[in-house]
Amino acid sequence: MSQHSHQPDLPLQIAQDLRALGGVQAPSELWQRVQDERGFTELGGATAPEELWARVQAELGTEDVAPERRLLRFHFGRKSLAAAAALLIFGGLSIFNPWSIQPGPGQDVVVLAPQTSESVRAAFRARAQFQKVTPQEMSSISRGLAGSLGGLMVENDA
Amino acid sequence: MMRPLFPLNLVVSSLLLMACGPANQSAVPGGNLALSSGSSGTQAVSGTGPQVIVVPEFQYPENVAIELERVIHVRNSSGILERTQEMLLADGLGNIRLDVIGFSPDQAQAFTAPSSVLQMNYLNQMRFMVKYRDPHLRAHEGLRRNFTWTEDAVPVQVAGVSCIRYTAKSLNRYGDLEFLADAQTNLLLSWTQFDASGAIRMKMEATSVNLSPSLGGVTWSAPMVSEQAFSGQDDIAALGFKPMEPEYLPAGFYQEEAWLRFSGSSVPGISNMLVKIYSDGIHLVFVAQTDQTTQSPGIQFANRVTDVFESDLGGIRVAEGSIGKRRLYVASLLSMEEIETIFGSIYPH
Repeated sequence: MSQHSHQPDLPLQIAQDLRALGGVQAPSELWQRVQDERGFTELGGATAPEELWARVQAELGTEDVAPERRLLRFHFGRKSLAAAAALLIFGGLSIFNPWSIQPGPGQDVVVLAPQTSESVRAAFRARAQFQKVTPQEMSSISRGLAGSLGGLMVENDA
Repeated sequence: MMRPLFPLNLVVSSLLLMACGPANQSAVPGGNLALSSGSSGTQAVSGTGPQVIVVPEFQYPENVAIELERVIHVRNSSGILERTQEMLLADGLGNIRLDVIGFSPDQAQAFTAPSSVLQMNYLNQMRFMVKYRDPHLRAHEGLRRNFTWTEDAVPVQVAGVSCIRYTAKSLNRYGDLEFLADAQTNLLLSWTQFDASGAIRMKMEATSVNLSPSLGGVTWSAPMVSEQAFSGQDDIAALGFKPMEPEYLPAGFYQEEAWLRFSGSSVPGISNMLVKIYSDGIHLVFVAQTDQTTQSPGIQFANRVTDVFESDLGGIRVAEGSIGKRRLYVASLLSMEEIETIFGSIYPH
């Protein structure tokens, strides 16, 4: 799992144990399950699904995950689980893209992107060199995208 | 200045026209509505002040049988609110047609006949404009958590219809909105999008409503190329390349839709396109990507980041650039800084 410096509510031991999982990928349904659990009085009484441990074992390629499992079981009480869930939801863990989950018909389960610090935003912007050009220099695909949002290249109409 | 219309423009536009499918599932069967009153103009009548509500529900014009004349105000890149006069026809069964019937370069000059270019833009984009330009209330979670909603009991007349005014205050400061909906049917007859400073960015006002339209002989908007919802890993083979994902989205945004538009088989030289649409419940961000090797066979692409072009296209900010073989596009009404941040987050470290 990715390491993050800002974990305000997560006990140190939990944080260390999470880090000890190394490059383990969270099962894809983890988020959905956490969401389901959140529905019960803000994570009150939530527990990790049993089958997740088998998935984690498979990811690790070893059966020696019992200590972490036990530890997580004992320590993932209401407060800790809420903190861990908050970490997953708002901490920016890159194990998955939460906003890539799409609600199906009749569903309204969406994951809203968290606030991002200005320093991180600036770092993203610094990855590319942006050059302002005239609308006429943009491609037809850009024009099409803009047009579908209402930017009908009115300059062209002048 | 006018740019020649290449066939490519039409093809690309047609690719973008595909996302509209059947109109909103909440359409009234048969699309019949009855207006709550009738005359013309927009004016407040009487009542009490605004009250905080949860999230309202609207009936969208494209979902009912309607002949709706309306005026769209769009702030262009020069800061001027231009106006287009439109006619929306819908049969309430998913068929729509949107034509431009007048154009004014500002708020003062009279409407004149639209240019052929503007008419062509409407012809290509009508389905998208109805679905994406016109604000819609999307995921309830986004609407509830990203906006504060108020309802003003003071009725307002829009095109002779007594309407209720709803306001949506963006908690993330992407711009507030105002909606005017028929007090009896919730039919949405006016909306205004504001920017973060409170200035009007785009506005629609209905000027004439006919809920018993004569629709014989109407040529409905129809998609020109095939597309399908993009479900992720299983559709990568169909897409033809592995898509890149943004690491950053503006606060409160989520993925609303993902569409795979096929063109490779029908249009040589044009890659399939993946378009992901993100939303905070109302505002939208498009992230599109194509494979340049299909568009430019034989050209060797360096696996590096090139300069990104950005511009304001009729009030919509767009950035486009390449990463190796991929061509990326980000478009939205949001600020250019947001566009740049999203775009940069797609690029490799």
